[in-house]
Amino acid sequence: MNQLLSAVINGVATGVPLFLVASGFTLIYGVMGVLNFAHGAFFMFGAYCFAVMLGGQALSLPMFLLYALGAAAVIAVLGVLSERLVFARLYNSGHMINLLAAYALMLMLIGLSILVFGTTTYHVPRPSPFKGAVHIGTVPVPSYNLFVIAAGLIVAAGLWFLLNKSSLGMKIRAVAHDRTTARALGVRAPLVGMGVFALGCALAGLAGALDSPMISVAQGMDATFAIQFFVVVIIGGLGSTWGALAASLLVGLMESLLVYYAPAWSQYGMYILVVIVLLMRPQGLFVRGPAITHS
Amino acid sequence: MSVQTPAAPPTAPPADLASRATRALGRFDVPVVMVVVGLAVAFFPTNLQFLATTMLIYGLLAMSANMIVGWLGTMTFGHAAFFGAGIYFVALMKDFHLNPLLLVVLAGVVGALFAAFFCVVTLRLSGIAFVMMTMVFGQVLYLLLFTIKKLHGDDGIPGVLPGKLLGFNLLMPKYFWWYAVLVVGVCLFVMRLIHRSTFGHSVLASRDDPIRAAALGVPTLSIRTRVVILAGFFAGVAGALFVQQQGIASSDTLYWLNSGNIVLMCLVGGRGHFFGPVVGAVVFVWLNTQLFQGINYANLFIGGIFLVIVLALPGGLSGLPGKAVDLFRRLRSLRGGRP
Repeated sequence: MNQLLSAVINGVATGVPLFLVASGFTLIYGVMGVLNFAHGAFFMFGAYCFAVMLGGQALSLPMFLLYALGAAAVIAVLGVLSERLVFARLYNSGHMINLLAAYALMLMLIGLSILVFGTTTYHVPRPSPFKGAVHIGTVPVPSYNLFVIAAGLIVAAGLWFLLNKSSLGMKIRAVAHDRTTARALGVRAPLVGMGVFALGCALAGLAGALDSPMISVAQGMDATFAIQFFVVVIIGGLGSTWGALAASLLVGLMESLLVYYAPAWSQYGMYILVVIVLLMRPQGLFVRGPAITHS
Repeated sequence: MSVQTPAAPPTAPPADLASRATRALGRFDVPVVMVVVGLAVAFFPTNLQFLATTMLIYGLLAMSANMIVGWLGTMTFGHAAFFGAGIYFVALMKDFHLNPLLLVVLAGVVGALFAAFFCVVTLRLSGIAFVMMTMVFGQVLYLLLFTIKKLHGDDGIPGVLPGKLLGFNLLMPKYFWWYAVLVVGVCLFVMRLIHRSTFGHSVLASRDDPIRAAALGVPTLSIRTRVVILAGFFAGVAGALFVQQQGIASSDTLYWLNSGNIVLMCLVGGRGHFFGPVVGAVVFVWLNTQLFQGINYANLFIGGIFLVIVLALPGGLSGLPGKAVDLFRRLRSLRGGRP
């Protein structure tokens, strides 16, 4: 029972960064039709920027949050730059060319990160109020994990509000639904696209910052993480933010439960999950209708 | 607000130089090209012969990926799985000292079997779900390298010797070059035959208009299955050649980034042209192993170069001669004052 509780909490905490990255990825796909392969690299850049800004010092909570948002802002700028320079030129070129451009961009970012940050491993300390463990009943739980879960809840609520209750969200949904009609009705689609790219990349950067105290920041983290959030996006359904939320929690839980109860299988967990979901519901859990086909 | 640039046409104009040349050669284009290239490289120094062999093997691999990307018009991010199946099969067989050609054929069969299994799993999927399953399949095989003790994870399986063929020791790069030319040439010739057969035409028909093709009685699903199995076969053959040449089976050949690189090769070379993927493979291998050799951030430049190619030449490098001819004609008509 104790083991189950800590497995669940750790699983949800691993799911939060996944959700942040996957929701940004799926948002960009939904609005612009770009499967942004470089998203994992943006996540890695976020983690690196954060680690460099902190320089190994443990901060108080407000400063920690400020630095994390700073890292997210840097990645947002990077995202807008890549949207202006690359994807804005490819809006009408179809999925294949976009995919290829995103892949080439990812290679560039991987190279750039080696050039800028080197191949050393960075360790990021937790913020000072969340260094220890909290006891729930008799179970010790790292308090930082609870903090990450809370941060994830806040971001999810913020996203929900932004997409469903604000006028900007309405414009984003309009462009995602039908770009041409939205433009005809006076929505400035290129601006919305830029904003969505900034938002999606900021989420990836924030995920990198929040995740960095739980992992070690090193080269190659983008490729392993990318596989995880691709799987999450497919399970949840491409283009569905709430699918991304449910699927990232599912994948996080599955992985941590397997680590506790069947360690030999822990790496295969998410693949088994995706195979089951794809065979039952090829379009993903949270997308109605037939499977999305691409041209 | 910026003005959106109009999209360039996705494929090269039909009358470009390269396709005109292949049309002139008729059905002998593959043998003629292979013999000419084979003879030319035979005069190169040994290290360049080794490099050319690597390029040729990657060329075959990219061609096999192009059967899925170009012929079927879908995507794959798990092609390294079939490549790796061939690699690890030959590496596991190293103590039996079989005939190298027999090993190559068997590796192809192993690749085809993996592809068949993959097809059974993904029978009901299409579109992005199918593409994602290629990636999942590749990653699961990659993880198996670390789970199954016999495959040695990151250490790989070293000491794979190519053996002897008709008394020639294939350890010598010049003999291996001709061996690779023979195997790859036969594979490309067979691919060309398939591409031109009625089966090939129904593949292209179901890519261009799946609904109409299905209405005309083309079994689109079974076509996809057969093409993927064939692609798995040729990727397995490429894997066997690769491990025979390199002498070691290593885990990173199966990583999903390698699958991505294979797709990059075939799209950068151009899907529109039959030999396009080989061009892409040659450029990629040259950039990776020669131009930026020893720079650990080489990906910055490689990604940058490919990004420029994607933005400037959506039809791929093999559309370049056609574009050059177009530009030349336009310049001439400008100078002559004709419209």
